[in-house]
Amino acid sequence: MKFIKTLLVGLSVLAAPAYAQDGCPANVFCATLNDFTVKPLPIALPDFVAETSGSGRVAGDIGRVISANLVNSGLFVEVPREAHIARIRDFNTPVQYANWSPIGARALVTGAVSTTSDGRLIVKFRVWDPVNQKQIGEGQQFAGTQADWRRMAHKVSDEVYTRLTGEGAYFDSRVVFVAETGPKNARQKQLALMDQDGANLKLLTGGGSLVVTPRFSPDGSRIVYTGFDTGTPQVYLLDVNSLQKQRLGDASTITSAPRFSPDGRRVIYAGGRPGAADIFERDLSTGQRRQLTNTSAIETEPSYSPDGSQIVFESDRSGSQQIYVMPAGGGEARRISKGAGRYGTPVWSPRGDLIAFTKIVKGRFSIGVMRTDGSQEQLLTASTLEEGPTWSPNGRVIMYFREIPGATGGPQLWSVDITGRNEKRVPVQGFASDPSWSTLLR
Amino acid sequence: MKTGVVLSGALHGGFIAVVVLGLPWLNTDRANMEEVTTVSIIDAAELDAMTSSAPEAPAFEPDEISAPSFEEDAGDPPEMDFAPIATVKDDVEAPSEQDEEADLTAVATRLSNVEVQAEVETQDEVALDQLSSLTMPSSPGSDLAISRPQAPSLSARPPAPRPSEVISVPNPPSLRDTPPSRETVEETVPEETTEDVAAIEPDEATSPEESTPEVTPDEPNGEPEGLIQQSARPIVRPRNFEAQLAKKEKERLAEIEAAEAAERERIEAEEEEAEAARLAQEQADAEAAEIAAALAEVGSNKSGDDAPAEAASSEELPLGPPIDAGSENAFIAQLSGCWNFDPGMQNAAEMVVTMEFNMNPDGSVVQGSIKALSPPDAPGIKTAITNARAAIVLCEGAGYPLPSESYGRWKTTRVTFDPSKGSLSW
Repeated sequence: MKFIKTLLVGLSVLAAPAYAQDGCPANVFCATLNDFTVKPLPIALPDFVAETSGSGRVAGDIGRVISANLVNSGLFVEVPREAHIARIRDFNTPVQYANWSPIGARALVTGAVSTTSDGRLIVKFRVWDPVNQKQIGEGQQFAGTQADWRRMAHKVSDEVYTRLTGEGAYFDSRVVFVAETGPKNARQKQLALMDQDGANLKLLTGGGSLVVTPRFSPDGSRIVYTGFDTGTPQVYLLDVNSLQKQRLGDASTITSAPRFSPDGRRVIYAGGRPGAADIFERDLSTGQRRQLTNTSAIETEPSYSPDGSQIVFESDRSGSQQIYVMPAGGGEARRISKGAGRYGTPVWSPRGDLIAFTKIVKGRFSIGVMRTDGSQEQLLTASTLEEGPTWSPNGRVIMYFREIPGATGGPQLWSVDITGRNEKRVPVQGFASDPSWSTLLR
Repeated sequence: MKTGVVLSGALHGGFIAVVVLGLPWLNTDRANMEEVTTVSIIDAAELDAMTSSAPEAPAFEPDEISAPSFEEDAGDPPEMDFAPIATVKDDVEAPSEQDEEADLTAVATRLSNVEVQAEVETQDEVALDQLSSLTMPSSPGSDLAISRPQAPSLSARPPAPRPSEVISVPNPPSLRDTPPSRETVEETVPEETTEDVAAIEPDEATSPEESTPEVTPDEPNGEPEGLIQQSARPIVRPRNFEAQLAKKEKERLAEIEAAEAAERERIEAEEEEAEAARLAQEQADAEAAEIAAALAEVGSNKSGDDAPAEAASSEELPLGPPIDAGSENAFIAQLSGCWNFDPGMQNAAEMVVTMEFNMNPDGSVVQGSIKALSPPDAPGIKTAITNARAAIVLCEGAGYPLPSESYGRWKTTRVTFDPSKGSLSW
């Protein structure tokens, strides 16, 4: 035995590690995977524990909102409650991973809801990884009024989403859009506000005049939109809380398609005369206006890059409607749309990596995305008429409106993941168009 | 010339005789060779040391196995078991029913309560090893986060029953509904029953050891010769009945002793063989352990900061033949099925992570050996690592299908999860 031991030691000392040519040692099996599966992550969402009497109902409501948020994102699928083999009865009791991994749960969220003596609501939660048997992040709790229970549910959803995907979330956000009522030939259009999931709908303007293209300010406190109070399109600024509005610029100019700069201090828009339009910028504090393009073409729908350094817009300066990018201060614009057909309504992603657009090819409309240099164009949807994409705060979901043809048809809000998956209608009563997604609420 | 012929003839004759008859010492060599080989394997001092250090040794103690089995086999275990069982069944039937109604109902009720509570309560999440990690420090960043309750300490929380304990609880309905069988009665009240029987029928109710020589003649299925058949004929008694009886009894006992002696020899031989096999196995285990220790020592000398799973370095294992493309493809196919990747994540094409892990010879992943070679500094890479780790764990199944003869090549496996060449949307 000593001989064998000595021999082994001697051989190991003498033997130099053999390396393959690609840098992989001979005694290590190296493999590369390129093919993956794209499936929603199974997540177990047991009932939140009602820690105080009377909090059971709201605990159930909060759990349902969280479940709906995560499942509607398309990135998660809930493990059916019937499959659960364990029940959470005490929030402070650690989970037993063996109860959740066998039912296929790749993630688990436990939580509890309680009310304080002064009526405030407290929501606590923890996120677990049953497969790798660890807690993801730390336990956290939110507190608010009873009326804020939906926001707290959205906050919990955001945290869960972020911890499991490693990316920003979008559930605690709102959407401003144009609510349309009445017959098709006499449609009333009003600005409306809702949570991203369609809840808490609220009208911001009356139906006396036409309104289109509302856009949120970065902090969500204001909205710029195109109104037709004077009969011609004008850009207006609306305070969301006070509902006070003001026209930007004088009544003699035609302005449209406004959008805030990332810092919220400026607004860019299209202005000009009928048959021609250029891109302008207005400083909201000084009222100073600056012209950024000067052509005889129609140039409209400007959108800042997230860092504020560039502007993407649509123009027919080449003879057809295409997408261009130019410096934020104006200057030479380069065309980035390269495919066949017409391109419009470009919007820069909050992540900065993509530009969403509407594409029209042979009378058929699509919502698509491309890299900021115009490469890797991907069409995500297709229908007879759809346009007006807007990004979720995390740059993962695009909402847009689709016109349902027919005498009784009208526009509806839809959303789609940037991978083209999970296309679904946003639950809004009545017709709706021109959505604009806010940033995450604070 | 004659002398030469004579010498040549004598030598050739001697050679032929040796070829035909063989050398005398060659005949004994075979037996000696076997013995020598055996002795050299067992070897005195080393073997003692190995035997004393081998963990399996107590389980193979010959005393526990041989002594009872030999006596019971050589004796009359069927008769011993059968007689008291039949007796107990007949005589204890009435009191056992009383016992059943009195005691078992109470027992069943008690167990029923336990099980109902256990089924519900053990669904609660209890993992004592997690309690220490349940700290909830405050996060000043969130304006809605007000406070973070402290998880209960380990000492403040009584341990709850684990699921395995619940499973081991007898099922109350079956206990209540099923009438007590003969075996149940024996297992429940063996001593009291035996005493009662002894009081009623002292001739038959004796302890198994004492009754062995006496019960055997009464057994209807006993040996064909001797007293059983004769005692079954009560009509005529032979003149020298006592002498014949004594003679036959003596013959029968002699036969029994001979059979016992033969059986004892057979069992002893089997024990010797088993002991030899055990010693050989222990020696083999000891050698394997020593080799493993040597490998571990070598591994620790070469890379002392590696994970425990890498204690036995694979560098000294024989590499074996190269892994063929088919095996590699099968491995990749199995792993790809569990690699869930989100192509919509930011910079998805850059989420390339390399994981390294150790595997056992059966293709299973060595627990705790999975590690990421990619630094988790890029945004999103942490999620990519989590998904890659989960893929390795989830797709392990019954082990990864890699050729066992090449274990030295894949004991340590390094997998690069590269989605950039996959079906990314862009």
